Amino acid sequence: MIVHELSRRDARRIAARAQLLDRRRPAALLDVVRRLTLLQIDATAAVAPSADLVAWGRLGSSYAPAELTAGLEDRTLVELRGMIRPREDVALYRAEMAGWSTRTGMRDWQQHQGNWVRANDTCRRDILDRLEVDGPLPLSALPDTCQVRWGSSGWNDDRSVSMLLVSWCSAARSRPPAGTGANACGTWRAGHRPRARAGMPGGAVACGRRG
Amino acid sequence: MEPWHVGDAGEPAVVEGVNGLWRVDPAQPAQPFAGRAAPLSRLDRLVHDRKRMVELFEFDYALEMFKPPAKRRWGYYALPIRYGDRLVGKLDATADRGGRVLRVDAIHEDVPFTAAATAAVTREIKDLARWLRLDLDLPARAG
Repeated sequence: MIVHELSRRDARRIAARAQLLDRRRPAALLDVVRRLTLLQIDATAAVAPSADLVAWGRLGSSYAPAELTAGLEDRTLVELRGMIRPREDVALYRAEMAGWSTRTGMRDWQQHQGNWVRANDTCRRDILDRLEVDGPLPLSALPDTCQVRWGSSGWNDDRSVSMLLVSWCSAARSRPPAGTGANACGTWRAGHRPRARAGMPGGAVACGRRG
Repeated sequence: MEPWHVGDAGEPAVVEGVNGLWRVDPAQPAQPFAGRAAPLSRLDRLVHDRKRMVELFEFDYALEMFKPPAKRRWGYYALPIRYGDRLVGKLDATADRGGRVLRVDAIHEDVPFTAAATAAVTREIKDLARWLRLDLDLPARAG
């Protein structure tokens, strides 16, 4: 196969078109997210949060940040590991998630994390029950009935519930919160009709963006 | 994070002055191009791969919010500015929501802007303020 030889200018123009930064503007937010494949979540708002700034850069001032919130609310868009993605793209990540429980050749830390999640299955059910009854809740309001606490020498020490939710995300049992990580802050909610929705296996927990 | 490799999509390509073997959609290079001005997020995928940014756009940029103020060259949260197919400067601006104003502290021009570039960039900054629903405090000759 031939190897194309591009000038820097050619390559810059291709990159700009791919990023929807040429003169033709996309029509709507969903077009933007589908074409760019993701909006990265970053709360620094010295000018505006990055996801909104990126969307404005494509759509101009006709873009309203409320559209992003609405897209996440109606699940046209989902959050996955700190990125906002079109719902249909979750399928691209499901095989890896689904394989988690039956994987072999896991590293020690993965084995350890899997065992720890299984050991705290009662807490997982308690959290789901609570969300089913009370609706969306912040992390701090979720019950911590972990029988085996998460211990580490650092940041995540004794953050059992947040570690449980994050581990859970890896195994596709939940949607991760904004700012995925041990200090994840967002509103967690139970998934409704979980099997009916792409990328949401049974017993799902979902998370909406804060603010 | 998204993968950096695109597998077998497209066809192999080399880019003048840029390391490595890339993949290109063969229909792309012949397409016409019309650029525009846009301030970008620091996390915009156009500049997210900093090595590619340097080699392809020959652009000097870094986030400076964690630097002591005296050591900042472009500001706490400067935004890369695109114009045409280049990255041409940095916008040092702050949304002061309490004061209801988008304050532009500086527009750093890597090379002096043409009149057309200045007009296009100014238009986008005005649109940014309109979108944020803030008044615009733009120095008469920022930069």
